[in-house]
Amino acid sequence: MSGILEARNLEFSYRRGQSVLHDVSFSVKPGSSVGLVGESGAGKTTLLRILLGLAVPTSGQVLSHGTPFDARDGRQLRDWRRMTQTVFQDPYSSLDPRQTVGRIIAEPLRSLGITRDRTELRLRAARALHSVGLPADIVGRYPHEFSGGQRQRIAIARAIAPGPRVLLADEPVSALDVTTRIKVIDLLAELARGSDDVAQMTVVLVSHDLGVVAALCDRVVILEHGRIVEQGEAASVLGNPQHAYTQRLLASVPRLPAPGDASAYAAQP
Amino acid sequence: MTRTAGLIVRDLTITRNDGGTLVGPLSFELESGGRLGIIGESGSGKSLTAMAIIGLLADGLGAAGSIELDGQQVVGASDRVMNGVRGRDVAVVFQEPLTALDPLMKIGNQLAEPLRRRALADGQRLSRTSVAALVRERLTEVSLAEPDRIARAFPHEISGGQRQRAALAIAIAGRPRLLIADEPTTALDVTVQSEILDLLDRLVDDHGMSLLFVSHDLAVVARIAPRVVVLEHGKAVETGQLSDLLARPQHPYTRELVDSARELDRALDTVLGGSAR
Repeated sequence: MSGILEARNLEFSYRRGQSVLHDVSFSVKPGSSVGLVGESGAGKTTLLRILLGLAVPTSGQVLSHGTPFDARDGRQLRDWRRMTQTVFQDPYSSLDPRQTVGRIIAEPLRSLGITRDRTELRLRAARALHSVGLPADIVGRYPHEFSGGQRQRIAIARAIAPGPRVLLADEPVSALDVTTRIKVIDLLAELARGSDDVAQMTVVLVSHDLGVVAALCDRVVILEHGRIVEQGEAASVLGNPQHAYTQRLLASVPRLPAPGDASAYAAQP
Repeated sequence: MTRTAGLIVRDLTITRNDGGTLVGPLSFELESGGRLGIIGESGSGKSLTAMAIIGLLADGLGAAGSIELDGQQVVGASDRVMNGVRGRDVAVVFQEPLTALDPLMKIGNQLAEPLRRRALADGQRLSRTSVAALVRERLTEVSLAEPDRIARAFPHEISGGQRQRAALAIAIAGRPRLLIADEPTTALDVTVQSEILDLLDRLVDDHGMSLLFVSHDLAVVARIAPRVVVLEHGKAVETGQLSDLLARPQHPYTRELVDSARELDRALDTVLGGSAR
């Protein structure tokens, strides 16, 4: 199998021998969206760091279309960064407060050597902002002038500006209010589908929130204590969970009582 | 004056010293032994309201209006009065147990303090062995499997779920009549959240405590509080039974909140094939 992003037998352990990831393998087809699901200690963050080239696995490989990626090779790393961009959880800490929105979005374009031409940078920033539903004339403003949801849109604009084919989103909506959350999920879904403005992107979503994963992903990988316990089509894994952990995870999700179901509410005192 | 049991908030306003109004005017009631959810998003003033009730507003903030706790006026009460009220009449569990607990003190000692205080208030001086026994009993009560190990541990040495259980044991050590839970499960994993909600449910029932549950999450509140106040920008936009609110939201903001929550819930239903209900 040849995925746009593939993890093959990834192992990661600290020097003291504590194992964080064990035999993690999955493959992401171009244009699909995958949810990496797990709770704290599942190894999500370590896995993400490896996929981004920020950490090197103890053994195993990360590949794209069958070609292994070595994060220690500077040129490979740069190519990898052009292909793979990230959106982080907290839009309050992931945007430099002293840079204008325009500079923030242009930064990866400069550092990845895509362009240094001012007109081109401005044009690309404007296009990225348009794609995330923000007006282009905010380029001169600073992050603190925006709400959490708008900041997350700015972070997404920065990620898509270099034209990546893979978007790695690390809990991208868990710091947002519920009403804002839906709008950002819709935006990510739109990017995953592609449009006239933006080429289709493969979205890898790291999340603990099954509702968000269900809304966005067509495949899921369930991690527990650094191991994959189950993976496959979202509908089949979540609809018919085989592993005890997946079952427990699903049973724990707080659900809204169905309309008319009085028994589902907390008892009246 | 007769002491009315429960919590009565009347025309509460919370203002910054420079004049900006953050909350209010806000009015609601919570009868003794009842449960009430306060729902709102960031900046709605839900945590500020909780802090005002326990008399712990940050410097630079002031409360006006009336907060009656079992007949005791909290607004404007002296620290001396409030020290008697906190722990005995009202206690609070916060979102992040790591910051709520003292990092330099063993869990057992943190729990022993309010236990001794409560005993003193009842005219009792506890011996060292009876404190230890009580600590053990209270840690067991919050379903901590190894109470002796937890008692000897520092907060960083135990898991997030264990920390929140310990924080809960400390909060209810003085057997308060009102427990305020401010997003108590938001920082926790979903499986742990579920356990803590069950625990909270049981403890509140067992001790006949009133519960004020502050949260942004409608689905979480639905599990624990039948009646809610919806806050937006410091004002109550809707109050009532949560079932009515979900079925027939009256205010546009409530409607938006319910619709957003429903959308994620429906997404789950779709992948689950509706079989899980």
